[in-house]
Amino acid sequence: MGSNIDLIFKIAGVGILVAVLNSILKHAGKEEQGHLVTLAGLAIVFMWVIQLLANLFDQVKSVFKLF
Amino acid sequence: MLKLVGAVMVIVASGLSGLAVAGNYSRRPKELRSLRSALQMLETEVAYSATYLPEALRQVSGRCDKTSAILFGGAAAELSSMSGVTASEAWEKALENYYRGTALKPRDLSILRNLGCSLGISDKEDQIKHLRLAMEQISTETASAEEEASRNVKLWSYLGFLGGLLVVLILY
Repeated sequence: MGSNIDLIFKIAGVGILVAVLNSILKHAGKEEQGHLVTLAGLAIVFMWVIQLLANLFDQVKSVFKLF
Repeated sequence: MLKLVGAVMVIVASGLSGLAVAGNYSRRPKELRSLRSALQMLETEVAYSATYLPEALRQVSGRCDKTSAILFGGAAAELSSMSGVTASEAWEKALENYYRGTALKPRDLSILRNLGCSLGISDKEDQIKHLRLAMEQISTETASAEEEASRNVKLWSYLGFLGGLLVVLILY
């Protein structure tokens, strides 16, 4: 459970930083880079979350005996 | 513990490099302005007191501020060292020496280089025209440099720290 809470905090941190970076870049007139940063943040968070999702699907498979 | 030290080092390093980039952006308009006022002084020397070139350059380097003084002082020293160089060669040499320590762009360097080509080879009116041309070009560069600085200085000083923070967060 502990590591999951850590992961949630990490995701929240990335979210905050990406939001701040995005607003700064937009303020400086570099909106394309802002979009790029947002997309990169999304990809990083997905990389973390997808492992948990895989765990969930494995568990579903084992519960319903879908091997 | 070790991890924490590493995290601090990453944040400090990327923050400082961001600040360095921001410093470059904010230094360029200042240097351009000081160059312009130094050229103005040189024009005055040439136009009203008709000082000969090494002396005029030395006068200007004594009066303008420190960054441009390297350029004018270097050219004056090179010219009065009796090594047989022409004014444009001396200017070129001083320019290379000066350019390394500044935040100027190649564009600005080529303006000064063009000025050097016509330095000290024609009569007063022609010299003044060339100096005016260089000042005019430097003025337009200053305007664009100021605009660039106002957009980029804040951006880079934040971007460095936030980038470091992001790297730390991802790798932690």
